[in-house]
Amino acid sequence: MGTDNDLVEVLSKDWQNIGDKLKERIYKHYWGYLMGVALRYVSDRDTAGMVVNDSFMKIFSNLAAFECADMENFNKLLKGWMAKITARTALNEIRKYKNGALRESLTDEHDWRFPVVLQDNLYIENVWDLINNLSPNYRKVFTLYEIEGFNHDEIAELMGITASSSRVYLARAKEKLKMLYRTLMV
Amino acid sequence: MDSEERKLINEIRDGLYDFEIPYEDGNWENFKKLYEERTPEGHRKRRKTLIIRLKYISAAALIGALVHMPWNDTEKVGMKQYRIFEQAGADTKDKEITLQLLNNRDTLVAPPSAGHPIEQTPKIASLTEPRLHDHIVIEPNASEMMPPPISPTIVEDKATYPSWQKEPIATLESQGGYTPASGRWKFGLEVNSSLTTYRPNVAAGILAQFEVAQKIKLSTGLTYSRISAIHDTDPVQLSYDTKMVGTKSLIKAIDIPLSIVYEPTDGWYASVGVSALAVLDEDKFYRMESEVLQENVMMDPENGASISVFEVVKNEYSERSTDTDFEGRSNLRYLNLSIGRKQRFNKNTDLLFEPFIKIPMGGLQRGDVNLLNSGIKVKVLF
Repeated sequence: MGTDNDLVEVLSKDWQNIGDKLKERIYKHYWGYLMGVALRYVSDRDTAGMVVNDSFMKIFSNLAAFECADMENFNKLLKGWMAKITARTALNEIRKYKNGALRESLTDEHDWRFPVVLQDNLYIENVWDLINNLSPNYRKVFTLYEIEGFNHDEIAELMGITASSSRVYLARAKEKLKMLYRTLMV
Repeated sequence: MDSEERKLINEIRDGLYDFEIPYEDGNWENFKKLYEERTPEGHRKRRKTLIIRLKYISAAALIGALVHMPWNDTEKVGMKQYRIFEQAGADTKDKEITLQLLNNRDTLVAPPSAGHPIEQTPKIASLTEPRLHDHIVIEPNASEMMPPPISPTIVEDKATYPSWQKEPIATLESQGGYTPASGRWKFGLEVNSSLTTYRPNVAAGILAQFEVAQKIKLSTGLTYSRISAIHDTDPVQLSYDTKMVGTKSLIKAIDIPLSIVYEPTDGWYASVGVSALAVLDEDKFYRMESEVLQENVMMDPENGASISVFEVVKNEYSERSTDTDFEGRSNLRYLNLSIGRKQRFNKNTDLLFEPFIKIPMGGLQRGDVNLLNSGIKVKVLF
């Protein structure tokens, strides 16, 4: 098995026609990232794993439809495309169990084995703390808009709310994040 | 948006973008299984693999047959020829020596020895040549009564050759010898009835059998089956007086089997194969049970007054379901296992009795429906 850079290079040349071996490499390479995406929406790892597997099915079935306008940022665009699919899949999963435990906020059970140091010493744990302190709807709207790049109309459709509600949730989420950030950095 | 907000959002975005969970072993294997089950691409791949496997098996069986048959046949024909020539040669040397007729099973015949005049032409065709007649028919003055040119079966017949005084010298029969491909096909009819289901299933159809090798045959066919199956479900109380006590399905289907038949001894055989089931029609019924309080008016024999006696009457009835479990579904398969006894009925007809078991596979393998089927088949092969 080649390196990650090899994979991205091979993939960027011909992602429309991939065989089983390449699928396996793609799965193993992006699984961890998509688990991170799924965990922004669902709280337990088993459900996140299920969401990731469902997402990969959609990814492999529709990879030929992926369009890349900027080949220099192929990996970034591909990750974004995959993350969008995963976010949609996770939200569909949440919709199935609307009153179930999936709406609970993220807890400490996440795996922090590889903390990532951010600017100004904001650790990934802190990022998750910030995100987890948002109410479920704020969190969803914030991640869908700011992280995944959906617009308010798409978020409205995905969450079954109006676009104006989505705007309000986003504004409130940002306010709350700023407040929490100030507290955290003090 | 102020700079503080922008900075915060960027930090969160970067943090989440780089956040990954280490890959856990075994996830790809689990995913691959799911992917093959759920997606049409996976289905196609599995079907392709199955077809390739079947092709390999068929090719191996055919190669096996081709390798096996010529050796056997050459050996048998050769031995029988040697025997005739050996005996004929002996007779021409000494007319007083009588050779016992050896039956088919006797293979203790030595090949012609060096210097034996006949060994140079050990071919059936050569038996028709006039110069060899005296090797075959020992009676020297019986040339006008020569049998017609040799046929695959040479059977000595005293009635045909009245001047024949010797014991018969040899029998050459085509039985067990080489059979052309067209002669290795057999066709027939089959009926079967199962014993294990709550109601006997009946099936009837046509079948074809191809003799791949002396002991191995491939069998296929087309059988129309009526299958009844009980669903293994717990009773459900639907209302205070009505209970659903079970479910049954009645399926009309075409069963297309492909089996390998191994016949180690003459008359006994075992077979293993798979069959694909195409469901033509399916009726699913819920078996309901209701308890009704029934009032019976009776006359008191002592004072003639009428009294009411209540009793609970149980009614059982079936209610047709609108949904089906198998109709329109693909990948409905049975694993077929059987053993059987073949009985020669007449020269061209065999009668076969075959206890069988059909084990559901693929889409038929549902935990709540008992489609395991066993019984006895009666086949006639022509």
